[in-house]
Parts: sequence; structure tokens; C-alpha cells
Amino acid sequence: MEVRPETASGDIKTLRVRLPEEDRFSFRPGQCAMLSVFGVGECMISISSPPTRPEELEFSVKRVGRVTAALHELEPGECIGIRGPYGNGFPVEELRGKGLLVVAGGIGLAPLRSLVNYVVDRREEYGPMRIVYGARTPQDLCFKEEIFRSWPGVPQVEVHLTVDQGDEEWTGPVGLVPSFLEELAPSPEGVVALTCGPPIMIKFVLEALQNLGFDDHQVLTTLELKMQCGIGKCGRCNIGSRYVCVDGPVFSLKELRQMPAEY
Amino acid sequence: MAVKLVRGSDMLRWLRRCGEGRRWVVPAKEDRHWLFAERDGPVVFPPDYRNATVGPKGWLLPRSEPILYYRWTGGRVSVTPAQGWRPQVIYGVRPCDLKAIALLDSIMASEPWPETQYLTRRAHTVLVGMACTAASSCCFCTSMGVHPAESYAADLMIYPLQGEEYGVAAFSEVGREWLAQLEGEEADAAFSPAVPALSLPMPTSLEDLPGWLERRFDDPGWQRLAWRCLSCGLCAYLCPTCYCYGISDVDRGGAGRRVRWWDACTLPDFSRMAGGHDPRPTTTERVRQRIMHKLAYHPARQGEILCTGCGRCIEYCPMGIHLPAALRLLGGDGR
Amino acid sequence: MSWALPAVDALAARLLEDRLVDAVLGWARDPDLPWQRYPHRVDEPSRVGELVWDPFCAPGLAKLVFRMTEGGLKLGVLARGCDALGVWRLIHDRRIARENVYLLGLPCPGMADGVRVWEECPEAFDAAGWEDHGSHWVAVPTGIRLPKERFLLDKCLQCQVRWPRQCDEVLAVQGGSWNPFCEDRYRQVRQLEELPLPQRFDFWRGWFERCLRCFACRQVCPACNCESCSLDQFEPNWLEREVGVATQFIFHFTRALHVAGRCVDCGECQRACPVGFPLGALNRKMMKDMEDLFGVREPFVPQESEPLGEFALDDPDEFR
Repeated sequence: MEVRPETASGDIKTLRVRLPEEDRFSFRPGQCAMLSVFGVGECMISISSPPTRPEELEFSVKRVGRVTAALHELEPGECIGIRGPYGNGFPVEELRGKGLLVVAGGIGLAPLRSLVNYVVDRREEYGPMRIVYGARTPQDLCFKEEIFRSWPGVPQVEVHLTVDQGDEEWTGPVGLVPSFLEELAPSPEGVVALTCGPPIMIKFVLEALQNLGFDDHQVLTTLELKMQCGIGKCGRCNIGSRYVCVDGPVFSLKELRQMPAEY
Repeated sequence: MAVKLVRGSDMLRWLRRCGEGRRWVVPAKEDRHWLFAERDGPVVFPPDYRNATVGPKGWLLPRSEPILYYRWTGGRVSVTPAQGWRPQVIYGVRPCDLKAIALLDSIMASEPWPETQYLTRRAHTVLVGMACTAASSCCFCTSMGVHPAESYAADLMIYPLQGEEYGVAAFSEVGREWLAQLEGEEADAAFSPAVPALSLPMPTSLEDLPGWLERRFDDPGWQRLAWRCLSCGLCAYLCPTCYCYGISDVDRGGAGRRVRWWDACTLPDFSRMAGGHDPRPTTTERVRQRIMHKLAYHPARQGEILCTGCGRCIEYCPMGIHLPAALRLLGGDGR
Repeated sequence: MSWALPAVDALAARLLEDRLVDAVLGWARDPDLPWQRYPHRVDEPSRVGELVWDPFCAPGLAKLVFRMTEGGLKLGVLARGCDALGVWRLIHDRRIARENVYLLGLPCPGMADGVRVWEECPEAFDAAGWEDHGSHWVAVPTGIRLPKERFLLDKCLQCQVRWPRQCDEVLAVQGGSWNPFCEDRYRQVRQLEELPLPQRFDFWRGWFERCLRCFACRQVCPACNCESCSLDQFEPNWLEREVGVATQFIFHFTRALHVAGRCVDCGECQRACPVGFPLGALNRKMMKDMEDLFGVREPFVPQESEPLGEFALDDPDEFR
């Protein structure tokens, strides 16, 4: 197992796990797994690597509490528990042939990275992909290798980056993701938008997408709620008639509107 | 109704024989409250017995229990699932609690991930139900479509008849096996079930109740109801259909166990996430969640109301927050 | 000697109309359950008719006051002795400001177990008013007599404050006698103290097995007013979520010790507990200790100076 910091502050790290062949499981982009640090606890983390690269199973974890802190303190070679995959994942079959607009903020790029790399690995099956990504500062941008170097080099992929606050070296755009998105004004024609990030960013991105003419069924997002069992039994992630761990975390805006506004 | 007739003392003897080797869980009076507790065998109830304060839920989904054990050896961890379920008989379960068990069974069995620990313990359990001849002041089963003489999840059902006599019927293979060991032929018996004293102020039919509530999601009535909620977990713990649980690790340095324990959506930190964000920060959201889950969300998901009218929330909430109060406040009564 | 329980609507109306308070907290009758009263708040004089004051007003009001005065709201509280002491506990703990509450003291006839009365004598609820006749509550105008011996709530048995203290005003009542219902508040404590240790442990272990750890006792308690309870903390995890005799022991004894010297003996914890846990015995043992060890005369009355609530440089014992 390797541990790789994504941000300069180290508050986000990517854990790469090497599973023996017989333990490898297939999954869809957008699905998650429960990572266990025995003695501390478990938490649900999105798989941030694509199923097309099973030898590089990766989880990107933001340090926010006890279990994530314990995950951050792991050294290569240490042992964790994994169970999964859980959740519905992105509807990769239905997205075939469509243009993709990926809008993410901060750690929110993690589940979408799985989808983006999946699309990169199966490039001809999907239309043009535009990635709009922002973070608070340049140091907080994750997956720097991909966003600066490898993704812009993929045919029919554009990467647009912004930060809330620049620094001395930053020469790119400065501004919040939702307004940045509106300035870019991507066309909704034949495109599905997928967004993930802090709740407040999602709220404004959804508004921006609506202003840009995206229909509710053209917008997918991932919902994050506290989860414990991961199997739709303990009730923790219940929202309306859904369990996020089983029916989500990916929901279309159409489905989201039918849910109580408690997320 | 076709039952085998039996006198009380013979019934207890027969049941004891059939349940030989099993743990007996029966309603027992401790101080002033009836609780389901482990005892030697079944008993005849006093005529004023209605229902136990705490239902038998804890014998199927314990208050807390290990789900796995782990041990570290040389940097590697080995994990063993919890096991060893003792066969048991839960005796004297009222139809409201029997229906609740049936609801829990379908929840725990639901795909894509059946909850095998509950289901295994459940498979090791024989349920002997007892129909109701008298209602308590707080029960309202019929308002929730539950009948005080139905068997629901029971393997065997006992109907108290005149004097010392009881009628017994079987509703499962195990039940039939046990009943075959009871002397006597089947006969027809008339049983007068209890009539609940309470009839809920239902604003609409049970089928339409979920939609009626969902249209009132933002109704100020929720706040008028919930302001006096003190965020304890009493209602959820006494409720026979509440099943939410939390999971944590109990570490003993090098080894330990992962346990699950009853949780309640009314408790303050239930939905609070590690980063601090909480979608249900006040009692208004939490009380609304509990009631909506029972009467709207679960029906939308699995087609049944998640309340069996046992009346415990009415009897025990220290601040008088319960289903009748909720329905009345949302009905625009204004109180 | 008998006295009539006064109607509280006029009192509440006066407080609101004179703008002494922004809202009044009392009780209302549940429309569907004749025996139940629940805490109710009234903001306008036109709605004071919703308030009721009778021997079935069981819930304690003090803990609710905790959040109600946020934003500087001035709250009038229809307070029995127990409610008033609970509010004073919150004031002494600096959780609410004295100037935000107006305590309207209600001399108390003792409260009845509503469900039991409903089961045994439902006609009693057809009353326009109530009188206290010492050993009985009497319904007006029907004259139905309910014996306190049979129906008095456990929490009222030990009451020493039937005439409320430390209130802004106390309702005038003619002819009331305010003797406590029970002379020896520490009777159960003494019985337990006399048990040999193994039997005492068995007594408590039996109750720990019955306790559901629903936290009802903690949540209703005015003395348990911490913003975040230490027993809920994950870092450090003082109390495992796992429920067993050991963790129950920790919960109950920690709470008893944290509440020691601060409990106002309102009895709400005992009333709220669904399984009948003898919380009163535990908390009164603490009170008795406060008397025996620190010479506090009335340990259930919040006072300016409290032995466990203060640190002074010349305290006789040191931290070691």
C-alpha cells in the first residue's frame, strides 16, 4: 500500500491498495468501499481509481475525523480492511456517446476521477469531456499530475482550473467554481453534467447548470451522508425513501428534487 | 377459528416440552414494569397484563452485540465473525409486536445486502404469540391496520378463552410440529379480540398517509411538536419497529471487537458528519425524520407503514410527543 | 383544609399584557388523550385559554427553559417548586440569565399518575377545576375524590418545595398546607446503605441490566445542561457505546457524580425512565453525602456557594 499526499497541507491523501488477485473485485466508477482501521473504526470512501486499472486500487481521503486521521497515519505495508463495492456508481452504460461535463470542488474530484480515468481508458465510447475543477488555493488542488499534465493531453478532453484564492505562482483563473462555470458557459446539447464537492458548492453549481439550460435528468451528483453499515440497514444514511449507501451515492437532479432537503 | 383447546397448566407443560433445550424469553414483571426476560419457561399472565414496556426486539436485535472480532498478529489482522446463536423461544408476544417483527424481518432480509446476523438469530427463534383480550389506554393497533388477534410473524398463536381455557393454532412448519405434540383435536372456537381504546385522529386513509405527510414536509406543525423534544432515544428504543444501529470498535490493545448498538435518529449527533456538517441540526428535523420514516418513507420504500400501534410512544415519552400529537398538529389544528 | 387550584389563564394573560414577559410556558391538555398534559408555550394573550393547571401536569418545565431564552426572550414560567429550583439550577450554572425568566410560583397539590387515573376512574377527567383536600384531590363540580395514597407520582413523594421558593411572585392561595408527603427523604438510601456490599452490587447490577441507556434521565435533567456531554465524546471515548454492566456502571455513576451537589430533586429523571430505574435513590445518596460530608443543609436548593461547584485557594483538600 502506498500513501500519497494530494495537498500541500496533507489534509487529503490518496491511499493505493494492492489486493492479491483473488481478492480483487470489479466495480463501477462512483462506487465506494468501507475502509476499516481495526480498533478505530470504519468509514465509507469513494474509489478514486477506475475499474479499468484494477492493480491500482486507490482511495482519496480527506482528514476530517478519527477514522480518516487513522487512515492518514498509515505507513506503506500496513493492513486495513476493505469491504465493498457499495452504492450504485455512475451509469456508465447510459453515458456512452454523450459529452461529459465534470464539475468538481476540492476532494469532490475523487469519485469523479474514477469516472474520468475510465472514460480516458475507453475514450472512443464517450463524447468530448470537459473538466471544470476548483479548490480553495492552488495547494489544495488534488491529483495534480492528472489535472496539469495527463488529462489535458488526452484527445477531446479539456481541463479548466480555478482557485478561490491564488498565490504568487498561480497564473490561472481565480474565482469560485459556480461562477467560473457560468463564465465558461458550456452548452447542454448532448451533454451530461456530473458534479461533486462541498454541499454549498453543489448547491450553486446546480443553480448555474440550470441557468445554462441543463435539464434535471442531464445532471448527476453524488450525495454524502453519514454512513455506518454500508448495506442499507442501519438507517444512518436514510433520506426520504432512499438509503444513500444502496440507492446512491449517485443521484440525478430529478431524483434529488424528490427527496427532502436534508443533505 | 380452528384451534386446539387446552387448559392453562397443560398448555404450559406442552410448551415447555417442545421448547426443551431452548432459552425461554417471556414477559416478566420487575418492580412495576413488565419486560421480556430470560426465565425457566412460559407462564400464565395475570388478567391485567397488557404488554411489556420494552418489547422482545432486543432478543432479535440486541441492545448491543459484537459483529466481528479482530486480532493483530505481526502487523496482520485476522477477523472472525460473531457466531454462536442459542435457540430460543419468545413467548407471549402481542400482535402489535408480532407485526413489528414481521416488518423487521422484511427490512433485514432486503436486497442487495441481507443482514445475516439478525436473520440467523431469527431463524433460531420460535415465536409464540398471545392474542389480546383487552387493550391498554394507549394502544391503537387498528388505526395502523394491525389486528389484535392476528398471528403475523408467530409460529404459534394462543387465544385466551373462558376461564382457564386457551385455543392454540399453528402458522408455520415449526408451529405445526409443536402443535402436533399437543393432545386433542381441532375445534372451532369463538374469540373476542380486544378493541383498542384509542383511535388516532387520522387525517386520511393509511394508503394516502405517506403522500399527505410528504406534502406537509415544511409545515410549521413540526416545529410546534418538536420544540419540546429533549432528544433522548426513548421513543426509538421502545418502538418495536425502530431498528437503526450504530457501529464502533471496542479496542483492547491488539485485539477487540466491532460492535453494533441501538441508535436513534432523535439523538443529537445521529446525522452529524465528521467534518461538522449536520443535515438535521434541530429537534424539528429529527422528530420529523422519525415520524416521516415510520409513516411515509418506509411505506414508499417497502410498501408498509412502519408503525403497529403498540402505544409505547404515547405512554412513555416524557414530553408528550407521539403519533396522535403529530397528526393533529399537521392537520392544521393549530395547537 | 382545602384549597382550589387557581385558573392560570388570567395570570398568564396579565404577564403578557403587561409585557412583563414575551411568552409564557405552562402546560396544555392533549386533545386526544384526556390524562395527558404536555409543556406548552403561549405568546399571545388571546391564547392563554390553552393553558391548564391541574393535578395531571406531570412534565417538568425547567429543562425546556434552557433553550427558550435564546435571543434574549423573556419567558414567564408557571413554576411549581420543582420547576423553580430547576430554573435556578440553570441560572446558577450560568446557562440562562436571571433577567430572562419570570417565575410565577404555583403552590402544588402533588401530581397524579394520569394513566392510572384514566384506567381506574376516567370520570374524574370531567372536571372544570380541582381542589386539594390534603389526602385527596377533588374534582369540581363532580366531587370525585382521588386518593393521593394511590395515585401520587413517585417524584412527588419526596418533595420539600410544595410551596415554591425563589420566585418572582407566588400565587396567593388560601388554606393550603404544604407539608411534605413523606418525612424521610432518604428512606430508600438508608435501606440500601444497610445492605451488605455484595447484595448492594446485585441490586444495582439488576438495574443496570434493565437500563436501556436511552438517556431520557440525562435529557430531562436541569442539572445535566452541558453543551456536549462528556459521555458522548469519542475523543477520548470515556464511555463505550457497547451496553453491558460495566458501561452502564460508568454511565450512571458518572452522571450521579457530575450531578452531585447540583441535583434539585425534581424527580423528572425517575418519571422519564421507562424501566423504573431507581435514579432517585442514586441521586439522593449524593444529596445525603452533601449533608453528611459538607454540612449542606438543603442540598437540593441551588445556592450561591456550593461545595462541589467552587474552587477556593484555601480549600482544605488539595489536588494530588
